Amino acid sequence: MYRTRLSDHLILILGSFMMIGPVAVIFLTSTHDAVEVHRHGLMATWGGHFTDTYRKVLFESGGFTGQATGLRMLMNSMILGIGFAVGKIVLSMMAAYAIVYFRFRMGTFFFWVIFTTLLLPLEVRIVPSYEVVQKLGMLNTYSGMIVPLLASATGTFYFRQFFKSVPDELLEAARIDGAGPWKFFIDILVPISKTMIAAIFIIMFVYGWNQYLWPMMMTSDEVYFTLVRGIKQILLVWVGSQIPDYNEAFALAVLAMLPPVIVVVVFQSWFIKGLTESDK
Amino acid sequence: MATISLETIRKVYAGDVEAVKGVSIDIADGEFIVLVGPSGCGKSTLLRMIAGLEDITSGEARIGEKVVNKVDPADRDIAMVFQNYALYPHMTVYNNLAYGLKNRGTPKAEIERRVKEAARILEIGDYLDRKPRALSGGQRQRVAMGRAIVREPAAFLFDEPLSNLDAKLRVQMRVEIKRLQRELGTTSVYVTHDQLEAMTLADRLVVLNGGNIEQIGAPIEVYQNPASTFVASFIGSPAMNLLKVTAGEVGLALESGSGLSGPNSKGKDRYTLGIRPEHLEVSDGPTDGDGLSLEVTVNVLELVGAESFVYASFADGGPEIVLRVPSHARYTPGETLHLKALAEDVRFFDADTGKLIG
Repeated sequence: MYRTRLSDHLILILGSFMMIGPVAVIFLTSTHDAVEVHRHGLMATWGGHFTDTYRKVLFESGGFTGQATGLRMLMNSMILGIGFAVGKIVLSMMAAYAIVYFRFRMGTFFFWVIFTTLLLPLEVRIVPSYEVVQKLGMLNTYSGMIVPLLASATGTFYFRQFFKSVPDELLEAARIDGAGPWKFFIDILVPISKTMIAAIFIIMFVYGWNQYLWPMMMTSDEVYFTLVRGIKQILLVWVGSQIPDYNEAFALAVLAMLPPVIVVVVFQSWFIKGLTESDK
Repeated sequence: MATISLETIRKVYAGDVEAVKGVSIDIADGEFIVLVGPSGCGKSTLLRMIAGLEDITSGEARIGEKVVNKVDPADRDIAMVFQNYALYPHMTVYNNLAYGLKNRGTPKAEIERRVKEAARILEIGDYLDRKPRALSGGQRQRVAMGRAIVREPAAFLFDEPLSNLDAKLRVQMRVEIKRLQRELGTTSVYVTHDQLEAMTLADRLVVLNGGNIEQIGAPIEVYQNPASTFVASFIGSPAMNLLKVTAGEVGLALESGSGLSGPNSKGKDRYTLGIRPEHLEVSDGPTDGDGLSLEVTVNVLELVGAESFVYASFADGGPEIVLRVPSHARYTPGETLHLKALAEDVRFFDADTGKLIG
């Protein structure tokens, strides 16, 4: 058996320090007031303004219209992240189900068409996509932010591979048990995919949460501001003699980091379960 | 409870591969039929066509009075037990058993009664709340059978259900399946490549080879009078000894040249002699009479417990032959043995077609 040595611990400690260090600095800096941050740069000490700053960031309005409180932005980011993740999972699961379990003309061809869209990132098609959303009158709506990005080649591919590894006998047993296509999907396939769903949920949630360019294109109304945009917004006041609220920007950054961390922490146990227990 | 009848069933896969070539079987109500054959003989395809999991290319399948060629598997009133059990991994044992009944809209109380009853018969009552992965192979096998039983179907279809179990459990479950089928009296079709399973379970055996039926009959009938050299070499372990001989002026000659004396087949001068290992007996010297008599050299003695098998060959090579001797008998490799067998135990097969003569 392998025995853990001191050097192993050192490497791990060093690694965690490199990961946690910057986050700690961001958090500590956010507890100082803006002037101090402006004068001394990043802080590695406790500043004592924790409650002030965070209360202000969360509950007091910012922006031009005063509708974009931290809480509002947090909610928007949540809607975006969860909408993305859930929508993508539902859509790509159904697409993969069709591709794997139904014989239809050019099924493989369609799969590869979906797959090649991986080569076309959002930035390439952002102008036509904007045009479409605008013509549909979905600018400045949540659905405008979420729906156009739901098609997911990655998700479809993952689910396709997973479905292909599900033994055929399971489908046959279900058919004999009187389950139609829809029942088989809901009763059997979805439950046994749950670890897979958890994995994709993590990836897609973080992806949606971190979206910057797309929400900025789709929404101009501050009601729809996300956290990621909010951080930028605070630093934009660099006009005249005003000092940007660095502390608030850092506080927002901390807030923006928290939910993805929570999602990963919550779902990782499922994730590992899926890797170690053969559930098929 | 129902009869199953298959009429010139054919299955042709894309690319003109003919897996089943016109098979007809009539299965009586309550009968236990075993389809046996080597891999690729079409036995599983045939079963899956009865189940409705494969389309029937041509021919007619009937369960009861109803032609089921185009009927959905769920509506054929059959239940199937799969080789890998195919239990729903995310459901408890109870739900695994209940799923098919729920889909059919069976009332809750009735489902509960039937599941409890099946659990009692199969002695899986203690595991009803567990998930399949917390069960051993034998227990999963029982659950898979339970799923078939609760449906109270017209027929059970078994697709090599014991192949994934270890040897001891396999014997145990074999006995259990037989007992269960007797008790329930449900028509059953059972696919296996294991001739021992086939022999012990079947009311009637169907030996398949290359998509054709070689023989249908009671196990003992198939064992004693195999319809062809294929059946002779497939059923029985070790297999029947098959000797290709030519009738000459002084007895019989093997292709390799060795002579032996034996009963003559009716009129043919070239044929294959078949003799079961247990019908060969060691004698003191060459024997006269119309029985089989031959002289061989011992190659290997294989002790299997209650008995031993002697593998021996003729002086100038030729086919190796096997005989069964009591376990206390000791023969050393290189030793010469005289063997004899009664004429009535010898079977004759056509040299060209391999079919049983007489």
